[in-house]
Amino acid sequence: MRLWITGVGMVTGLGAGAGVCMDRLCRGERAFHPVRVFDGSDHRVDLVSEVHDASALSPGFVLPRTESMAIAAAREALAQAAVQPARQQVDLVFGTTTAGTLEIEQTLAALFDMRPSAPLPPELTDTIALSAERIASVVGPFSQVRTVSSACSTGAMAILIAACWLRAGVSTCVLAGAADGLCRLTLTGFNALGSLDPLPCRPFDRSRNGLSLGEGAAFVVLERDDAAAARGARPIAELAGWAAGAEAHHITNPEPSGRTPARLMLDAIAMAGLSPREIDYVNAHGTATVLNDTMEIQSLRSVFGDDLDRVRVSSIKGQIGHTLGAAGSIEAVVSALAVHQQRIPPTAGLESPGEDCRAGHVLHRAVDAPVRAALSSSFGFGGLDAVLLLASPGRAAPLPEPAAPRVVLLSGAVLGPLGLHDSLQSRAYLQQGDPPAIGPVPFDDAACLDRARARRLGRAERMLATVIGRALSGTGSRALADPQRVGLVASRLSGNPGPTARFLARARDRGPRFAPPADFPNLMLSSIAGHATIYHRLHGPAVATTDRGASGAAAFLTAVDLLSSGCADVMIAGSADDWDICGQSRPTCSLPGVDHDVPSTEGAAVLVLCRDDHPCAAERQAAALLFAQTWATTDARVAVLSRIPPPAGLPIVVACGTVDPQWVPASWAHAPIAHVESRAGMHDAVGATAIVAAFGQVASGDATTALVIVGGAIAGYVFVIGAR
Amino acid sequence: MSSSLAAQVKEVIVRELNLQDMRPEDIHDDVQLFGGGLGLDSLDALQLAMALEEHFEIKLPEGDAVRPIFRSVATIVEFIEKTRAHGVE
Repeated sequence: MRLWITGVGMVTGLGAGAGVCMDRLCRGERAFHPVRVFDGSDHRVDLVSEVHDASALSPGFVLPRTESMAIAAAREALAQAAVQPARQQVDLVFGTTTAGTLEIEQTLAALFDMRPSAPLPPELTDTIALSAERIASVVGPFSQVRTVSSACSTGAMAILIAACWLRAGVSTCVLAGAADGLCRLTLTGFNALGSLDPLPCRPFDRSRNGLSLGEGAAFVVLERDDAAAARGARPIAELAGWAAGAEAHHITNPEPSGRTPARLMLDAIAMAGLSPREIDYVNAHGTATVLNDTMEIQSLRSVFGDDLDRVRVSSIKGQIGHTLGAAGSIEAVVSALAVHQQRIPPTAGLESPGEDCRAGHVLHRAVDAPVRAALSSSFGFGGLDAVLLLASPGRAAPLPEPAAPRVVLLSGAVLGPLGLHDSLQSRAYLQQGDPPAIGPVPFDDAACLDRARARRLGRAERMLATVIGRALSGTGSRALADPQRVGLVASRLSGNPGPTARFLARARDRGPRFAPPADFPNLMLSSIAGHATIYHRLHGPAVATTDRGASGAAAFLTAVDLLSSGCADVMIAGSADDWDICGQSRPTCSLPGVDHDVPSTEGAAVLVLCRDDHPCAAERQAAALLFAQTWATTDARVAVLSRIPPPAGLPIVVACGTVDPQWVPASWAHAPIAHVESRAGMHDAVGATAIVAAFGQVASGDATTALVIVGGAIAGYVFVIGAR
Repeated sequence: MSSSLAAQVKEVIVRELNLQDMRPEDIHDDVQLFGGGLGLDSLDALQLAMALEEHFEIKLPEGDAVRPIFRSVATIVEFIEKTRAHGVE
């Protein structure tokens, strides 16, 4: 099997349309000016690269800026590939870090210190999760939809997850990409970090002085070659290798040796069956910060050695700025076009490479040169890194045919109204009992965590680090034997409304100069994953995900996808949600199947899972994951529900969220149903709590098989866990 | 050197950098703040600069010029006193 990119779409400060953007990039054009989308004149640096093309920003558009750009790029990619989601099964992976922040940030700042008397709308609390839903409603339908966020590697991670779906046989055609619009939050935050150059940024230059912010969107249509060829499609380039991993070093600073990026580049090259000598181009992360560029060239030198002078290296951030979450997908498209057109765009702004930045840089204008294969590197806050390898069709080794391995659950832990529990104890969430009290749960973080190392973690991050520690203590010694192969997927309420409101209100009231730099990285959805990998020193693939009403389930399934496709040996998956403005605004809610009002609470839950051929699977008597699927449309739901395998022995059904009793298949109808919220309350980590409790039920022998159904606002997830 | 200024600086350090297992009085006036025993890094330096500027209504120099000022509590106090003596904000 090969993975073909059959369509690309792009929107940047240089225009709308992948062809237009690539031509202007190759001419060395730059698109910087003081920000106009909002008044940024009170910022130390207000230079940005903005999207102005009207075709990407429909007049009177009711959608947020980020989503408008995403839709323009997605439509372009689908049109080029001649793929119509209404006519064939297509899935969507969407990445973003800012989503609709621009449109809500003034309202959010006004909410700070208020006690809202009515539930806050999802636009304010869950802006990231909402974006994928709205993009799908305009461009779709898509059978399954996943949102991913890993700070500045988000766009690459979205394409990587799509590749995992194809590789594991979960999909045959995926629209994957990312978008990020400019907003006050990021301009203020990067100013606070002192990361912005007052002049257009100059990647790798001896005078480089920080990054320039940009905005944009890019998508690819990624397909199995046989399916694409059968409908007459041609490849633009092949996605032949990929790798993701965590530096586990610092929430904003790169690990100086660059060993994680180097490892990922070598892994991607090996996956493609190539050698470093066959890589002709590296589209660098190249942010133009002193630390990144030095580290990146160091990592390239350890991959290519003296051959680095031959490899052409460029960063397009000197032309369109750092588009944050979108950057990885924009750069993947540029790399694919470099392979397709056999021309390499330059690093604009680079005149004289720094002493520690010597490489085969492309200056001023594009060079026409054979590009057999190209690497595209992306590094995010928290050390969340991803590398993609784009190759000329047929050049790389084919991927093995999908053979979905069995996934085994090793351990789990829950923090909630009933306390801090391992998976066996967490069965209490499935038993009859009193509903929990509204509000925060008892949590003595000082007793669970090293306070010095946890000082940068917010409450949700502390809760997650605590349950990860508890779960890992139950996995046996072999699970962590190779930390490079232990990854993490974490989720939380995607808008992070409380801390974001606090940051924005402070910048508004005291001026951007007094925005707290240390708070800014924690406002990104992915910081929950970054902090946990740093705290627990995990170096495998790490990413955050989210889904309205089903975040924990989305995290678990994403971890399964990464495991099944061979990206990791052991995955930790879960979510955390702390009592915040969102819970305060909606103290109780009602749920089908629960006979009392469900109080708003908080909690965290994680599972540790591995493939069943991994040595740690033999070490523990655990449970097997027999079925794991998701839907994002009514048709897909009917199909998923029809595929649920029948129970064996003593079954239990665990429901979480909005679950219609009719969804339970007839073969499971006799099984008792437990609603996890009736004991856990309502928060964004209940989906993970449901899976841990169901796992505990099977691992203890109280049940032989457990069916977990998690019903979110749009999407749903089904898992069947059975005794091994 | 003003001991009350030093106490205020230490309080800002402990509060703003979330040094939860430390009391302000545990920080010695001359202890090296960065790259030393307190385990502080460049992100802490940014946060501390913002907090000191707000609390003491001063303007710190940017970039490497702040390094000698951030050597210890004593050097920070010295800078604040000097700034105030010159009436510069």
